[in-house]
Amino acid sequence: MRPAVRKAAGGLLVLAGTVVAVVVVWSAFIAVVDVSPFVAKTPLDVWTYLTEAANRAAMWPLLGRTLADAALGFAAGLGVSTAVALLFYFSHVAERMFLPVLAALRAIPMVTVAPIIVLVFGREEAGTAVIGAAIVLVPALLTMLHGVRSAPVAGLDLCRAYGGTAWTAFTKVALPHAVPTWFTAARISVTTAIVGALLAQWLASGAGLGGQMMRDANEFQFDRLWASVVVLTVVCVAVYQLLALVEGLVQSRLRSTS
Amino acid sequence: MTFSRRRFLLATAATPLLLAGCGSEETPAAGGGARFGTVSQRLAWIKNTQFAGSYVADKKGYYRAEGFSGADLVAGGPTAPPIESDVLGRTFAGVSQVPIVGSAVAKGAPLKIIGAVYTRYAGCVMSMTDKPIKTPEDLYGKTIGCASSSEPVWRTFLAASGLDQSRIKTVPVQGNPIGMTKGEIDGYLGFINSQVIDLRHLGHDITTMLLADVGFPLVGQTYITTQEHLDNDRDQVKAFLRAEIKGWRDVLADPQYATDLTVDEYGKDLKLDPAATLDCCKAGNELIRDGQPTQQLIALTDQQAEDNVKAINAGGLKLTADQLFDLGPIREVYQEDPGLAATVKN
Repeated sequence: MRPAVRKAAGGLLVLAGTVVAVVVVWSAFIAVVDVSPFVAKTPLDVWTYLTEAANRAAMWPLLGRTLADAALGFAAGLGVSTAVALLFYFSHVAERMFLPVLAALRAIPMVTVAPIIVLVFGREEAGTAVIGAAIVLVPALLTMLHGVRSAPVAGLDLCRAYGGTAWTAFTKVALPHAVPTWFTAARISVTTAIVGALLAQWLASGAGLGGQMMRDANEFQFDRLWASVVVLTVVCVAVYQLLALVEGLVQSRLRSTS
Repeated sequence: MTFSRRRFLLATAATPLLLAGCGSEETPAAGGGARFGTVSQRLAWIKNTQFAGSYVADKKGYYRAEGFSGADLVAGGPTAPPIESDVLGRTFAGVSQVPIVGSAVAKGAPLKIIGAVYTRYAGCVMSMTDKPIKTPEDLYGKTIGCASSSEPVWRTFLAASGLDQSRIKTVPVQGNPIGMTKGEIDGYLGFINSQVIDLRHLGHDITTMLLADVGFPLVGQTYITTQEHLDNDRDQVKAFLRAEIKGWRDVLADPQYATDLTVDEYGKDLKLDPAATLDCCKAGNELIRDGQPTQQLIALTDQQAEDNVKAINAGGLKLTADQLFDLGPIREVYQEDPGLAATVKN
């Protein structure tokens, strides 16, 4: 019990340090760069904006929509990359054929392909899921492939020596070793999924915080824009930490059972 | 011949002197000495024909003749910082749109509109001719694409026209309105002197509804500057306006010259199509003209200022014409030199 309390206290201390560092760097940046105070907002401006209940009340539904879109892209992206990772695990030919193509696809900016995605999948859930999945897919896939390959050769050999099939080797050895990396992929994908949702809202639906942030820049609503950035950053950090926690639990559990 | 290190050093050391020599010889020749520094202007978009008047003013030395040592035309574009931000911090003047300037002024930004190139705003609803949008009522039940930079104007239009916004779906289309030609959207808020011409040059049959033709009173391509410049550098503001007037007079008189200057020099990196650019320039000239035989370019009447403020107030702002416009300098320019007015050949 006592180590847990100490750990939590340490975590809070680190968090406080991070917040102070961000506020200091942010304030210094605003002070140094030559941008009008009507555009460049300070931490205090954002605080003032967010302390007003009406401003917060207007932001939550938009944030909710962005997170729902992010969840959609996250699920679609992780689902597809899991399927592709399995396919590549069992077929090296498929991997050699398609992995370079998938990696290269990532180099194409979403802004240029978005009109085509919208044309094919529309501007609602399907289009949002595709844009989100496209952003999440490649980094998640590469992480998962690394995991599924990291099974110890000795274990696989043992399986084979006892007459096990490739399927047995996969379920008994490769998969248990891949599970922790799957959670790593999920953790690194979750912030990417939020970026994907913002992109989809900017390029396809115009909804949520992403749509509003684009309008803010053009309607001189810079208080709201900066406040949105801060809220999104905090949410990203929180979700990332949550998944890191889950990842840690899974890893310790797998370690204790193996 | 080999170049020894010593000779190289001597040569490089002498270069700045030579350059300085050239400069000091040239400056007095151009307009009897510069009273002001370089005049910087933040353009609203990339260097297409929309800003041809400023290119002409630079190329033909109108800025220098008005006492500036030169001109710095800062291009905008989809990734550029907001125009108002640049004008507040970096440039002397800028080109923007009435609703955006209005939002900035409503937030307390010390900016004023000092004139406008287009007597009618260039925005129009484009649609395919086989499914045309010709009147505001045609917009009901339609999906209209709109770039995020045009959304303030679009919202202002819908509010000022008294249209039921819940019956019109607006979706973001950043950049190319190609989705319209495939039926993905029914209409697109484009510019009569830009995307309309591009799509027509690609062979599409496009119908347009110019917002100005259906009662939207906005002027376009408004010049803005800071209150500080208006208070302390009024002569410079007037000199800038005179140079712009002269530049735009030339664009009206010779659109081919303005087009060549845009395509071959100022907008060279954009690799513009000369034929389409000429059409864009001529369409822009139609927006400048007010139909009178002589016209005070860039000037606005009090009535125009009132109508513009009324339109953006319908969109939710609470401004007066005096808060948004300072038409003093442009009036003085024409009072001091009535000959500046353009005689329009028809």
